[in-house]
Amino acid sequence: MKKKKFNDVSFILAVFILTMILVSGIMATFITPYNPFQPDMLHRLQSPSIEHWFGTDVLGRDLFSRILFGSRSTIFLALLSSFLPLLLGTLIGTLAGYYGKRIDSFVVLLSNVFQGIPSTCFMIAIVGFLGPSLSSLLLGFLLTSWVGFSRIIRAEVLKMKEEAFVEGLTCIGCSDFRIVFFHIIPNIFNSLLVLGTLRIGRSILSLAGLSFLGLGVQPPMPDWSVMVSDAILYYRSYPHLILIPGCSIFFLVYSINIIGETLGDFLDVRIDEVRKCRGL
Amino acid sequence: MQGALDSADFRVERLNVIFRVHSETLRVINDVTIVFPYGKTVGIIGESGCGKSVLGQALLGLLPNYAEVKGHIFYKDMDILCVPFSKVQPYLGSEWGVIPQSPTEALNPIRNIRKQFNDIGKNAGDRFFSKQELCDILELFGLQDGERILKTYPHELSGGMLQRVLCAMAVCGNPRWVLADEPTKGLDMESSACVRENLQKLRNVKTKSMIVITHDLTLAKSLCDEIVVMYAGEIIEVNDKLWSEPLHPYTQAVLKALPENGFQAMHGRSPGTNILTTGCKFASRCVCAQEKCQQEHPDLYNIDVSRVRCFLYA
Amino acid sequence: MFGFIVKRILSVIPVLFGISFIAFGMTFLAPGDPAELILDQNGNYFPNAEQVTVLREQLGLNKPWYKQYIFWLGQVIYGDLGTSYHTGNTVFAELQSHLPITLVLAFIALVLAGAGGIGLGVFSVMERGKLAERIIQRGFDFLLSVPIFFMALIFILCMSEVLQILPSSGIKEFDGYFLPAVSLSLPTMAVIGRFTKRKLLEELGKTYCVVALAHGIKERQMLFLYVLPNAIFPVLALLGNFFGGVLGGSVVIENIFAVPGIGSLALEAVKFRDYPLLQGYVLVTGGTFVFISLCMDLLLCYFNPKIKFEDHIL
Repeated sequence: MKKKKFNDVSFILAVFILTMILVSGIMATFITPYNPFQPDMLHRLQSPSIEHWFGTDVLGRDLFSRILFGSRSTIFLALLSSFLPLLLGTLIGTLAGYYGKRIDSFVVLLSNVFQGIPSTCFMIAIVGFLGPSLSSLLLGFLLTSWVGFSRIIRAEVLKMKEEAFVEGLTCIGCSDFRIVFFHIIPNIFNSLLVLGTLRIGRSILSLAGLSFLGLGVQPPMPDWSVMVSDAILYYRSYPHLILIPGCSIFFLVYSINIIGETLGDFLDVRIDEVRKCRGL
Repeated sequence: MQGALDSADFRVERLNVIFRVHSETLRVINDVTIVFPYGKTVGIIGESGCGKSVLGQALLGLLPNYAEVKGHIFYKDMDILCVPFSKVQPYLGSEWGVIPQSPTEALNPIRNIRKQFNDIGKNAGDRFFSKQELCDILELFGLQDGERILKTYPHELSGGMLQRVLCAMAVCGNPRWVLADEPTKGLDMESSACVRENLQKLRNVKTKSMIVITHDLTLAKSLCDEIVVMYAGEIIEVNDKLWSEPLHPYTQAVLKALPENGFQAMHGRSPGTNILTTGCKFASRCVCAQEKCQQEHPDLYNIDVSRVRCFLYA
Repeated sequence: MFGFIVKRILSVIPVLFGISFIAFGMTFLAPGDPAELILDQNGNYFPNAEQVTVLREQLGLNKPWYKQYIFWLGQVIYGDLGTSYHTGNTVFAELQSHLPITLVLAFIALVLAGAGGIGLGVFSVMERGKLAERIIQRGFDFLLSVPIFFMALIFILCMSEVLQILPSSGIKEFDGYFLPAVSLSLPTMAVIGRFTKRKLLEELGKTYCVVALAHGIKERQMLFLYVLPNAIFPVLALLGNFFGGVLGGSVVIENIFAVPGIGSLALEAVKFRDYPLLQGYVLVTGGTFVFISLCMDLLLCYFNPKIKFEDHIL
């Protein structure tokens, strides 16, 4: 496969699209032509036109404004869903890898248990118990996705531990904390970065699926996935109702994936897709 | 020495091979011109990285994708470097046999030995080897219980046995040429002696046209009619009396470094493949070096039937 | 190998216990008092303190958590998973009626993903460097960036409206499974496809493949007899891992295609805050996935000659 470079057309396009989405999210209040919450039954279900660039939805709300506002929840979820599990997973994985033995065995068992329940099913249950909201969705996501990071980080730390320089550091009296935070983590930083970036896309899709089912962002807050589910009765006659939010999600994830892969090719990092190490 | 120019010779003309990897340019083979005559056993010796294995790959049309090639290699009026691989492919396994390095990794781990022989046969003129035929060839290389071996998988055989199996595979198609790539690499004295024995047998019974790529001087001495010495991607000596009359200062230094000759080591290291040097590539390490050697690049000069790349013989 | 099998089977037990513990523990996440909730569900909207206390005593809610867990676990092992709050049937009965449908759907989707993914992976290696490979690669990238519900809806649009074939909801006859299964399989197919391609190319770079080429074995033959059998085991292992993802994805698919599987059941449970049903859902999906993973592991172990071989060497 051709290695991706920073001056590829696709990379530049991807950065452009991502920036546009970020900017629209931040500036949404200033640039929306209409109020995204305001129903207007006279102009419902209109196709894209000059007045309404993306048309209107079933309640007459301007789709373009709703898309701009909707990017907020998507970005918010994307950032938190990549950051938090990464943090938690790195912490647990590093502890397991570095201290080994019983802590490690316990973490491996924990990982097997948490990964034994399919992640979507687990998230649905958590949201079911906590009540549907953005925060319960995030908590559910955190609880299911820390394992993926933890496994890979643990493997990397185990490899690092064998390196001669770690032994040297222990010999000169370096404390465990220092070794881990100032020596081991910087060395696995590259892998962390690429892993995190590649995971964002998958996380967004997973969270989008649950939001579509009504388990995440609650109305009237606009959210791209919710916009698709709102249109479930009408999309056959008015396909733009799902095409526009759906493609927005697609472009966002596609851009992030390209950026992640280019970064990975640049840093020459390979992350294996096999999720379950046998732990043997 | 040259004999009649049989078209089943390998004629290399002005071969240049460059590898472009990781944005580096490695000049692996520089302007090599040589003929490997049919019916002769030629040894190519040199240090690691001198380009001898790459030369072997080039001869068979098996250079990797990232290789940039210039020049010609003729075999039976086909230019191996210019034709598509599909034209070269029919010769592999049938007219050309190969004995690869690393016997333990050289075979498909999940296919038994007999099936792998038949895979070769299928492509060497759609031949099917009977069990007896295969046992005979295996016996030739000292493997008595051929029947049992044919049923085994590669991991069940030791390195030495695999090496013999590979020799057998190289000749099962009755090739006109056999290329042996570092056959004694990493082996101890005893195993090396076995390999020498195998190759002698091969030479006596199956084919006299061989190219042996090695840095094992004992092997080269016992097996080869003529020796080609390579250094930093170039041929620096072609000599059939190398052991008694080494010509190039490098060859002389190499022979002096042998335990039986006093173990006198050479100083310095051979130049890397990504460095461009003017003048003779060995000049910086040569005890006979003159000013001319640093500035001008010597050609291959003829001395009787041998050739040397050194101004001492100009 | 026998030791490995036993070890693997035994390793499942603590995991199952762990899953049951999580399923039990999740109730503590729920806001509010469970006794109040039950009374609420049964129509008693403003229970007084006495009713609540009585019910709490009845349900054993005042005991320490580990006693509650053991009691609950005991009931679960006997098949009593409680009663669904909103339907009044036992959780066991609900799961029993809905699970098989999801399992069939998931199984078909997984087979499609495997066959399609491996096929496309092999095809893109055969067509390396050509347009077909690039189209397939783009296709994979595309499939991995589309949310599954969007893809399913587009599918329905195309199939039902534009092309007017196939029903788009309900499962009456077999073809009612088709669209949901295909939609469910596509993302996994892309992952498997990419992974297959990568593994195939990895194998092609290994020594035995280069040697096979040198022996004259044709590329297509080599791909199917040498490379694919070696590369396929990690691919199948990955496929088994994705059963969990397929189970999860089926929730969305069941919702869109109105399939009455456990995904739909779970969504209803969320809507009605039916905690026993949710607990049962976690137990069943977790247990099924762990079981299928185990079967997959053991099957691969049995069929993978390399594992049998490693045993030999050990």
